[in-house]
Amino acid sequence: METIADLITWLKTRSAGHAAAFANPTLIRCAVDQEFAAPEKNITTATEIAFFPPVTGG
Amino acid sequence: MRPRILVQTEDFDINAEMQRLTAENTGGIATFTGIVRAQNGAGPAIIALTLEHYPGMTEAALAKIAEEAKNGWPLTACTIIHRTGRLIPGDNIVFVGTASAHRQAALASCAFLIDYLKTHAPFWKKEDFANGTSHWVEPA
Repeated sequence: METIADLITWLKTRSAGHAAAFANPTLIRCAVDQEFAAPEKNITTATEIAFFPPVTGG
Repeated sequence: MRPRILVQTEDFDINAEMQRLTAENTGGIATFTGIVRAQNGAGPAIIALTLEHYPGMTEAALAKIAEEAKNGWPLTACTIIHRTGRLIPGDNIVFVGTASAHRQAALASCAFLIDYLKTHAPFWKKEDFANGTSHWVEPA
């Protein structure tokens, strides 16, 4: 597993709930070590990975 | 110039923030204040707005956004304050202030900051309606 996309692919296999949560990739944002990151971002040295919906601040 | 960045539950004092933005070579200050609406379009009446964020990343993201503004315009001061927690219609949500020697840089950077903040800072809003329902706000 090297990228965020790899991690999502693996997480989706964990349960039906995981699969549902990641069903629509366009609704998911990701941050690696508290910085926004794209699916192709390498995570082999990451310590914190977060998934969340599109932001609605301001 | 070090941007002033705050994420807090408390309200902010716009006059005090204006004072802080006034530096020696300032020719103009542009500010934007976001306020909780009582209704979104033709939707049901809103009784409260709850803002959640991603502590740690939020402050870092706002600092990065302020850095982008500093790189884009000759600013003499810059402030971003974003509230979190439960707010009611009429409450202040967000304050963005920029100061520069001339109006164009202040106005343009203030508009850039509030627009960029809406898509690049990890905040989420939930609306509680008078009819007892609630929902998470979808991005515009």
